[in-house]
Amino acid sequence: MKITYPPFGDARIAIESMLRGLGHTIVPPPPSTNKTLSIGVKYAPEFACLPLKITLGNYIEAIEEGADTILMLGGIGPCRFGYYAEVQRRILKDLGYNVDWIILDLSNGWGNLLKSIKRLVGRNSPIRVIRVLQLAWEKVLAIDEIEKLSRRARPFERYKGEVDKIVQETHKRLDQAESISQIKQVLVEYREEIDSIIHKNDLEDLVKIGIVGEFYVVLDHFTNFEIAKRLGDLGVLAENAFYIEEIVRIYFPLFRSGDIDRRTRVALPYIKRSVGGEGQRTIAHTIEFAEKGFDGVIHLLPFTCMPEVVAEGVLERVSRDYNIPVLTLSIDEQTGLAGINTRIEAFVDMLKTKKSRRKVV
Amino acid sequence: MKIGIPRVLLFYRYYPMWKAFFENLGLEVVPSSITNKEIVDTSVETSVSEACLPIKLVYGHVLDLKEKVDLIFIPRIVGLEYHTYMCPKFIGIPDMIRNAGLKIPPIIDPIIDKRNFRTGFIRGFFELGRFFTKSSTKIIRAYVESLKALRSYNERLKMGITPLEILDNRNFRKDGIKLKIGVVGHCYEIYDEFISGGMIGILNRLGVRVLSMEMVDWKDILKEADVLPKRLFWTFGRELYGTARYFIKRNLVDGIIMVVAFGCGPDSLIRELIERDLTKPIDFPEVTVTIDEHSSELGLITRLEAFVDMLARRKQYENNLSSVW
Repeated sequence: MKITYPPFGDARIAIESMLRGLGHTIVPPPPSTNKTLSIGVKYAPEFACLPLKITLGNYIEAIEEGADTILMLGGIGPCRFGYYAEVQRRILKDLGYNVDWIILDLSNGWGNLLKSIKRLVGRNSPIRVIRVLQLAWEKVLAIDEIEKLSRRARPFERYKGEVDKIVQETHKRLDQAESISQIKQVLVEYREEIDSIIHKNDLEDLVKIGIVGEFYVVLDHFTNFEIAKRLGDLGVLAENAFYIEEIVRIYFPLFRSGDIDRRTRVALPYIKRSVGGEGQRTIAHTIEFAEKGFDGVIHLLPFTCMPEVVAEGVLERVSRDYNIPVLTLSIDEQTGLAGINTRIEAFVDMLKTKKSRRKVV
Repeated sequence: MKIGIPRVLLFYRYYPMWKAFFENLGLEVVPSSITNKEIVDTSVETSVSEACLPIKLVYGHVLDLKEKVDLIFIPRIVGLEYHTYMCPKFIGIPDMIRNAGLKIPPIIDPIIDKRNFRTGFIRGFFELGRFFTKSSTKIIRAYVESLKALRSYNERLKMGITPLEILDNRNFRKDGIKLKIGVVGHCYEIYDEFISGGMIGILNRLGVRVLSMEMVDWKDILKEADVLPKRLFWTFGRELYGTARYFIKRNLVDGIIMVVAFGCGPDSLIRELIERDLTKPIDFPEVTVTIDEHSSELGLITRLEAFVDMLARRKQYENNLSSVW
């Protein structure tokens, strides 16, 4: 069984660590490129949302490299994500690829979920499984910390690409780490390196932008045109509303914490009931950023994402009520880099002018 | 007091029920105008540009009601079936309208949530009734009356009368019918004559009898959709898939027209399922019509005529084809 998975952002390090720990042979999908996207677009339904198309491209590329099993999540709606696996399964079948699916999905009952988990776990002892999960979880936390710190450091880079180099090195070492203490060690060294770049006294003067929206687009660097890097290069401190940790907490009840519901509560005056996906949370996060004194918010969504369209309809009001500028970027296969760049630059310019004026007053 | 009901979304499915309910509580019911150019224009101006046309039209219809009523009724429909959702936009539409910055009368948005509660329907109507009266018996009486109204409406639909004939006083010819076509799409797309470009009328003129989901028993349709290995979690998705399968399997129609709004989330996947599972494997005639605010009626007529001609020719030579089911 050669297993592959839908990659998003840096989460691949944790997923691979888990699969490797459980003793599977993995065929990691090649990093997403425009080729991946065009393969996905060619075979996916025309009006499906972008993540479906990109992950379909990822699968096909991985299958070409020898994968024969795909690990995927299911869902109970109302977001389209829950039905991705079913649609992609049919498409791959019609294309003549003979692959097996391990779908972690509760909607067909606990029995089916347990069966899938059993296939994934194999003959590992429960203690081994717990250790593997623990390690993967620590890696998730480490990935998030690396990402967070890199964003603080990027505006102070001494030369372009400095932070990227450090991050890439660290990711490689994190990938090889095989115990929690090793992960801690990697992080300690990383922190040291990064701290030497950051000018702590100037952090407050930076323009701060919060990034909210649909999780795949927010977290996958290829899909969002590496927006965090772009903002960092423009001298902006870009912070995500959530990182991989929160997504894991939301999707796997095992790790669930009450914190997420508490954070969502501020959105209730605007969206009274969850509309699936990140819709309601997008509003909550925007309010949160406004209260934290951020200068602006960028809202990312895949074109026609249903929950985010609801959020988009409400965001204008939130933006006015909390006096925080919001830039909505809706991304699909037609979105061009130049267009995104222009809009980000204009947005940042506006925020910078606004901030410097405020200082003079 | 006057309550306004926008002629959008589930209007063509539940209007008689809502009307009976409100009238029994002593309210005057005012539906918004039939969608016209002006409504579409104001909708496009005020709404989220990425939403699908039916959702955009809610904005225009609400603005159309603005001067005429004291209250506007936009239910928050979470689910119409146990463990099944509606599209997220149906859940969020009252919030979207309320926060759009339109100067409109207050919105009444009871939650109709059959997803989490089997009693979701009556709960929703109780919440709705509480806005107007304290007396529970009054609400229950109104609810019973409204159910009666809905039942008689559904019975008329099952006789093959379209909602347009019942609610909008349209007349369609009954003679010279040579073909039957199943139109698979949501009631708010097919029966809003602006959205669908008057599809029902055009087909009728071409001598086609239109069959739609409303004319078949709801439970039977949903049963058809249960064959899917993973249960669909949208009621509308189940309806579309089930309708297509019902029509094809029972040989009720000569062809299928799928109506899909541009930007409709669930339909983008359901269409794919119907095509890959039902029509393609047996070469069943199917055409998909995608609609948005820029669709032109002429383009639609051309496509429908071509499709109908094709079906007519196919029917003529039907004996030469092998039966597939």
